[in-house]
Order: sequence, then C-alpha cells, then structure tokens
Amino acid sequence: MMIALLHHTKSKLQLHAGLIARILAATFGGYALAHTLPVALMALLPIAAGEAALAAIQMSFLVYLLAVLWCFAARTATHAWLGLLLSVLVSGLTAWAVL
Amino acid sequence: MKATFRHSMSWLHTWVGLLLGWLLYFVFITGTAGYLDTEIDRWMMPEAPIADFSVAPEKTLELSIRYLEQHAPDAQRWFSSLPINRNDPYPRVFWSGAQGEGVAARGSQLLDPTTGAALETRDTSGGQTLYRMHWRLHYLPAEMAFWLVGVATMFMLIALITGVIIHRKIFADFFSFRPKKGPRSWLDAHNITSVLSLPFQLMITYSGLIFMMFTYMPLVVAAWYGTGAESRQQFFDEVFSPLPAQQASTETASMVALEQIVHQAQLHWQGAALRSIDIQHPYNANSRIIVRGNHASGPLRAAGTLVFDGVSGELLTEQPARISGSKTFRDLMLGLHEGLFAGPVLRALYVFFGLLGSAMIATGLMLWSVKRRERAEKSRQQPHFGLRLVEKLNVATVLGLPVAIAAYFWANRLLPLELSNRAGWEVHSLFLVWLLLLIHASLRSTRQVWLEQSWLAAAAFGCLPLLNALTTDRHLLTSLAAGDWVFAGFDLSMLGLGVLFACLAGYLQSKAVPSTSTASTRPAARPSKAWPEAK
Repeated sequence: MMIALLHHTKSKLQLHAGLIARILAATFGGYALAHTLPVALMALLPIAAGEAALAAIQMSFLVYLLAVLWCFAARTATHAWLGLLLSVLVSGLTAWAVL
Repeated sequence: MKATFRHSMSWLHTWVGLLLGWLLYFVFITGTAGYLDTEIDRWMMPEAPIADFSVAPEKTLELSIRYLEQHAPDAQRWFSSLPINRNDPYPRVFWSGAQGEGVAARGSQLLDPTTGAALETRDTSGGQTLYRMHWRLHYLPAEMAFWLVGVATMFMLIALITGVIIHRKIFADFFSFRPKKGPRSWLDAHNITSVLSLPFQLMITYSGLIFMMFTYMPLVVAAWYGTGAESRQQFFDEVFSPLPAQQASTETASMVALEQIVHQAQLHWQGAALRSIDIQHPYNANSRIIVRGNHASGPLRAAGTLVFDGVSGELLTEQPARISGSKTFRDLMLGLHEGLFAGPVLRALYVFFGLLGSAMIATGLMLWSVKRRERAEKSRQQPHFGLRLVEKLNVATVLGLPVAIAAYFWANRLLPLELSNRAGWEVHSLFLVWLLLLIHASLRSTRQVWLEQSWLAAAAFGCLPLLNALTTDRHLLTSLAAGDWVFAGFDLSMLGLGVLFACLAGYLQSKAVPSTSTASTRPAARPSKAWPEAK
C-alpha cells in the first residue's frame, strides 16, 4: 500500500517536474534577469548614474514579464533554464565589467 | 509542457489569472473608489461645509498661520495646503517640532475655510482609508501588503499580455457577444471588458509596479550606488534633488509678509495656482519658505518649487518640475495612475475603466468556474473541492465586497458619534460584513447565495440615500437644491448601484423560478447548477 502510494506520488511528481522547473525558472530566474539585464543595458549608455539607475529600475518589470513568457514558451524546461541562465550570466558579467 | 505556444500561454493566463484574482478584484474595486476619494471623504463628513475653491490664497494662508501660531508655537515647520481643486477640498495645516504646554509636537488639521477654526467633523476613516486599502490591505504589515499586491500586479501584467497573445481575432471578438450560451457568454463578456479597457489596464498595472519599484527591485539601484542606507539616500538626493536642509539659527527674526511671497510666486509662474506653502523655522533668522505649484495641473505628477528667504522674502532657488528623462517618465506613470489632474469627465472615465477592469477580473473568475462546472456535469462527476471553493469565493468576493463597502458607509452614519476609535470601527464593519458574507456563501447553495447577496447589495446601496436623509440634514433634495454635486452625486450613485444590483437580483430570480412552459422540457430544479443559464 505504502509502496503503491509512493510510486503514485513519484510518477505524479515526474509528470509535474517540468512544470515546476518552469515555474521556478520564471519566478527566480526571471527576477534575477529583471535585475541584471536593465542594469547592463543602462550601464552601457553614457548617462549619469542616477538617471541610469532610475531608467533601469523602471524597465525591470518589462524584462521580468518577458522572462516569464520565455520560461513557458520554451520547448522544454531545460531550454527555459539554459536560456535564462545564459542571459543572466552575460548581462550580469557585462554590468559588472562596465560599472 | 503544452503542445503549442498558444496553449502554454493560455495555461499561464488561466492560472495567474485565477490564483490571486480575488485579491486583484479587491485592489481594483477599492482603487476605483479611490478616484472619488475626496468626494467620499466629504460625504462621510456631513458636518463639513460645501468646499469653496474661490477663496483667495492670501486669505487661507492668513487663517492657517493664525491657527498654527495658536496651536503649534515654536514649531520647526509649518505647512499649509490650499484648497485649489477637488484633491484638497479644505485648507489643511501640518506642523512638526512644536513646543509648549499642552501642545502636540506634530499634527495635521483640516480647517474651516471661512472661520479658520479646526473643522469639526465626526471621527471617520473616510474615502482616504478606502483608497489606501488597494495597496496597503489595511490589517497587514506594510511590507507584506506591498509584496502581496506586487506579486498580484505582476500576475495581472502577465495575464494581460498572455490574454492578448491567445487572442487571434481581437476586434472580431470585441463585436461578438452571444448571451445565454453558458461559458461562451462569459468568455465574450470577458473579452469585451478586456479589449475595451486594455490600454487603461496596461497603464494602471505597469504604473502600479513603478509606485513600489524600490521595494520590489532593491538591487538595481545598488548596482550603481552600493547597498546601505547612505548610498541609497545619495541616489534619492541625486535623482529627486531635494532641497538642502536649512539649520535653524539661534537668532529670531520677523517673518516676511506671506502676501508678498504669494505675489512673487504668482508672478514667477504667470498666475498658475499655488498648492502649498511650507515654512521651515518660522520666525527664525534662517527661515525658509518653500512654495510648491500644483502637481495635478497635468498628467505629469510633478510641480515646480520655489524657495524664498523667510525674512527678506528674496527668491533663493527654483527647482523645475522636470529634472531628467527617467524621472519625467516616472512622474508621468504616477500621474496617469492617480489621475489627480482629471476633471469631471475624465474622472468619470477613470471610474468607468476601473469598473471595467473589475468586471474583466470578475468575468475571468466566473469563466473558470462555469467552464469546469459544465464539464463536471457533462461527465456526471461530483464537482471537486477546488471548483466548489472557487465558486464560493467568486460570489462572496464579486458581490460580497461591494456589500461590505456599503456597510462601511452605513457604519459612518450609524455608529455612535462618541464611540472611541470610531474611524477604526468603520473599517472593522467593512471586513466583518465581508467575513459574514463569506460564511453565508459557504453555508448555502451557490445559486441561492448569488440571489440573496444581490438582493442584499441592492438594499444596502439603494437605501443609503434614505439613511443619509434620516441621519443628516443634507438629503438628496436639499443637496440638489443647493447645487451640492458631491452630496447629490454620491446619493444618486448609490441609488444607481442599488437599481443595478436589483436588476441583477431580478434577473437571477427569474432564472431561479423556471416558468411552467420550460419546466416541462427540463428538470424543474437544478440545484447543482452554479449559475443559471437559459438554454
């Protein structure tokens, strides 16, 4: 009985694993990208720090939105994660190098 | 995942829409009421006189300073805001750092525009508390409320965009409403309300996020300025360039005549209205007088500021409304969200779109449950717990919240005037009634709840003008005769809402009792049906 129940939960988990992975990618990966991408983009522009920061922070919700859409539109959950991680890495490094 | 792009977007739309849909409905309804916040304030303070915007600023200032000299002597700061439009119906003073026996160190007071005495009204939470609920959620700790509303707003943004994506024929959909077709009708209604108000919804959602952006995205600014309170302050000083603080001197001095300051400011701004006068260190050698213009003169929520020497009256600094591109964008977003600049027609449109947004959320929630109810009945399955929960929450929110808001207005007229924490009890009444309606919804069949709560809403709103007539001397006929459009408008709107809910109740009633001709062709009673549909 217990074993059957365990098997049941396991298969259900597998079924939902992809979905859960996407939700996690959208929530946390998207939030990270909402920080790094606007910062990188604005850091590349020749404008004053205050103005750049204020522009970046207002852009971040748009980036978050696009990241979430990407996570659910990608072909597989692995694609979603890879795409997101790569963008966070590239934009994060750019921001770090420029600032 | 789902097979196609459209499918996965549709899945996302369904679930981000449902999950916090009730919270969003609450935010939309209370936020829409916020477009009439000061009008509601005035109705909830029936003792206050009819607002008069034609009083000269010099006169109001004279009364304000007289009040402050009496009630806030030796203060570090005196602030007086002038009633120039519906955003501030009465003169208001604020002070801090006052000293003396029996003197409150800081305080805020509305003044009677003719006598300059404190405006004596009942203790009420007013339209302001109702309006603040839409992001402050009243009982919750501030930080928690901001984050909850922020997540809900982000969900809303995702739901809006995925909604646009899954719609192929956005204009064709707009013109098709197929009534009495069950889920299809709900989908049509959802489409019409959404398409009609889409630009407004996008603006209100994105600007809502911008209001709280420094809470939601704390590390963006840190990328330039570093973490810590000091670096944060440096950022705020740079972008919003606040005026440098002036230290008080040990010497006292006489104060320049305020008429002279008003005159100078008006000359400088070519006659544009002044919104407030802020006196720092009154009667001090280092006194400064800061004059702010009207931040609601256009959609850009920003105003020019002039700083005068408080002794000589010399103009020292000017700060323009526009400083930088990104600040201007923010001011525009905040200005559009709050709509402080809107005149009567535009304000009515704001309310209309706010209600459409609420209807969009409500129809979306209904669509979710009606669809699943139909599916469950077709397959003759017991509707599972989730569906029943959503059905109950739907009715207790869509109808329960308006009834609870009506209860808030009833409480304003019925609670004894001497009750301690009266203003607090007005708000408790709102949430207690809402809780009762939630319990009511859980005890009765969903269909009965829809019927009973719509009758209740009809009575609660429809009788408000009567209650007002019985408890004050400003009933509908007197306010119409006096041309008091705030009071008359409130009473008439409540009457209108009552009629609307009565129509809904009548419609539901006619569906609940099938006529004899249709009774023969279908089972007389369908108690499991959540929402009546004519076939």
